[in-house]
Amino acid sequence: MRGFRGFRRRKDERKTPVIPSTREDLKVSIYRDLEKNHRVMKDLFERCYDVNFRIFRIGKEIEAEIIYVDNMAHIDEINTHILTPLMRKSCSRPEEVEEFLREELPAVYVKPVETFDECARLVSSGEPVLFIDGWRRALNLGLRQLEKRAVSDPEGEPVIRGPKEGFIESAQTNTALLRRRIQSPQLKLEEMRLGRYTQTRVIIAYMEGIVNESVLDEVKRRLERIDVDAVLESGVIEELIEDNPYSPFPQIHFTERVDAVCADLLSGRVAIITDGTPDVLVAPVSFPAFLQATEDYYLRSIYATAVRWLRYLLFFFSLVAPSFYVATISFHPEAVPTEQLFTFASSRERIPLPTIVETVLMELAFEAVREAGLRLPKLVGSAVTIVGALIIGEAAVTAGIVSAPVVIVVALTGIASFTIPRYSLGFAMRVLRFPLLLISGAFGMVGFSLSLIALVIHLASLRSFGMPYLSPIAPFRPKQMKDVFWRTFWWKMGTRPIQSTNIHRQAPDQKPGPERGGEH
Amino acid sequence: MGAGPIKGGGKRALGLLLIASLLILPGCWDRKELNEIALIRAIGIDRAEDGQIEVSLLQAIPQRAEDAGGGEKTGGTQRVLTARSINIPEAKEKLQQMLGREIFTGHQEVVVFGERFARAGIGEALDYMARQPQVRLDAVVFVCDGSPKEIFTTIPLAEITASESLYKLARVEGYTEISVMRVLREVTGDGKSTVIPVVKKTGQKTLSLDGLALFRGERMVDHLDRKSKEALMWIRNEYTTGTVNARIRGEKGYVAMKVNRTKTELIPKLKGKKPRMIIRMTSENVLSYNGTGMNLYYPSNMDRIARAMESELQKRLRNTVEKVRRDRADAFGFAELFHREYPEKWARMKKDWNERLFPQMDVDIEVRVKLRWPGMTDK
Repeated sequence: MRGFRGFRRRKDERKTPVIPSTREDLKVSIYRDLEKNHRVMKDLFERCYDVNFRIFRIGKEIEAEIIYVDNMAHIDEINTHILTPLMRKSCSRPEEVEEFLREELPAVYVKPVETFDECARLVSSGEPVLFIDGWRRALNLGLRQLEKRAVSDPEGEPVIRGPKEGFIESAQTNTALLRRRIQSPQLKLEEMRLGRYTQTRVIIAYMEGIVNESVLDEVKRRLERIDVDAVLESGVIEELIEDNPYSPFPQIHFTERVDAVCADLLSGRVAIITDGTPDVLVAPVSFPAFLQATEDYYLRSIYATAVRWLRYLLFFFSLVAPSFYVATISFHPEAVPTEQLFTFASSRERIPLPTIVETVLMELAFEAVREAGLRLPKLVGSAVTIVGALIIGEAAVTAGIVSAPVVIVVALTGIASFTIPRYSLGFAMRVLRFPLLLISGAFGMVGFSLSLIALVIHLASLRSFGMPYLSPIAPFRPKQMKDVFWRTFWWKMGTRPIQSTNIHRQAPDQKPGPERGGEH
Repeated sequence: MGAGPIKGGGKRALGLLLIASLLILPGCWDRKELNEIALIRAIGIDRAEDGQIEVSLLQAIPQRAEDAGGGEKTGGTQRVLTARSINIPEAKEKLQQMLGREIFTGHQEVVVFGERFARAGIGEALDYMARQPQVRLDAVVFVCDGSPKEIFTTIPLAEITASESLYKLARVEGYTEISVMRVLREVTGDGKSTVIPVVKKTGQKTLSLDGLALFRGERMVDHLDRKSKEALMWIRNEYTTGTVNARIRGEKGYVAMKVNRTKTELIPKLKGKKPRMIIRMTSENVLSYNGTGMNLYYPSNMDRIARAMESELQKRLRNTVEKVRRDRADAFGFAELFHREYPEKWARMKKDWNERLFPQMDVDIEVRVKLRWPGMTDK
């Protein structure tokens, strides 16, 4: 048996490096002797100044030890509800202690622990562990208290209308926020731990009976595959589970809006909550969903549709405007209306740089200003923006380095790119703009259109957890177009966008009107 | 990698390198920067006294506002270059030698033929333009009284270039339809005739339109005045306005009517070998002047005016038809109608169409006038 085990371990070692927290030699049961236990634990948490070992006597008789981490355990609770009663209690036999603990200890969550690796994990996660001399078990006291900020406005995705409450870094708080909105036992929250060292708590949230089971299984499978040192943010998970890692397009949403995640869950999507970050992942998603803002669903349908169209237009604009300008101006000037070309030509006079260089320079300058404004403290940030705008907008034109139309095109492109509701898609556009620009500058309209065709082919071939990225446009599903080109009235939103067995989301015939339960 | 075959990542890197070099190596072969091309907005072709071809180019010179100087808010200016040679390409070569920038005809929106050139035949110019892919075939065409050079150097107030003013004149009159393309099509089509508007310089800073030049084949044969021009365009069912004056029997003074909307039906008939054309024009008009003192409150008076207008219009159409027939140039497009209606008989008709059939055929003209808007007064 021993030999066989050893063999297996070697094989495992070859495959994956040893993971300290699940070391085989720690999968040892706790000893009866407190002294021994103390030595093992002390050894494990050697040179960890923050881990406290408090040895005391229960009723001045039995030795016990509580191990906890500063600032992660609830010290007050430990003092008043664990240490004080235990020390005052007079009992000489371990059984009495157990009875006392079970029946009189005012802690919600007391769980026996059998092995050292479990103990180590619990202590690391901030939960105090109690060892009692003569016991082959330790007790996990659920008295964890972590520092966390208050639930606040999701700064990345503000809305005018709608809840102003966003996720925070604590997964527990986040699941509570979800549970508060979906008060149904069908909201399932499955926990798993990822990251060899970080042991990050990851929670898979979905609505049982609504979620597409095969997608759920796929999400779970992909998450289980993850075997990395650290999962510090949901971005790590996103990159490890997406379908096409080389694509510039995001295939998984992230959001810090509670209401958005709830809506996604109720549509049959799966959410992945990662402890330590307010950004929750949502999958599967399709391309049109990246242009749907949360607020669309709270505004009246007609406004939402109008705004959505504006967004589609500007989205396209943000990708192609500079390239289109360069391709037409420097390759096909005959295609520009005469008077217009004349104006362009006037501003192009005395500009030493070719249009393509001019445009790339301005785009780079714009990206620089944007990046600088983003990274700098708010006070300095606005100064940078002002200087940047002045230099780019005014001085460069007056000095005859770039022409005015280029400034306009770049500025419009920049503004257009800010209208994309999802940050990750906006990034894809920013990244794709440059190759498209260079190709247009080298091959004119031919290069431009071929690039766009290539882009569409790529989009059509992408998938997000098995769902075609362009759905419901391609493959065309007319029934689901209700949320693509227009945001249908809520009373018409009969079906869910994700294929599932439970497709109907509301009773039919919800259309309001005076005859519908008005006065009488 | 050494001498061995390239594998995996190396292959990918090489591929990327090749694609990257593709971006740089072919160069921007078709690229034309706006400040490296000479924007030609109009071309004038004329025949000089010595028989040589004289080509004038109107180059638009864009200027940055701050360079323009003088506080003027012009976006640019123009210049006219002229060269003579035995043919158009040669002349253009010469013109290119005068320019530091490549001649760019993608925005050549106006073509002006000198009258002398037009009378001698515009075939050479049409041939040249039809062969140049860079030349716009939707450029509007004019024939000018005098030399195109003079037209180009006349810049009406409120315009920056002469070509702009010519284009706007054409737009007002509905002449934008008369493009190089159409002239080409009509000259080589069934009727082998076309019309081109005539422009002339009437003042220091004034260009004005002066009827139509009638072409038989590639040669200008006649000059139609404004009245004939209106009638011709009405028959062709092309939009044009016009004013008709008429006297009413038994009344003093004139009434005037603005022809607003016309619709003409052309019905070709063939009886044996004898072609006949029925022109049926209906027109809806505005009464614009009543100098007779008739009370227009009475519908009967309106009717009298309408009848008078009908006969006036009919007379005008008749005159034009006869004038054009005398020139043996079927600019109405009758030939094409016969071709369409009687395709199998057209083959026999076509060879003596312009010489015999068109001048001799019967043409019936029916005019129906509807008068609208007698105005706010009953006088």
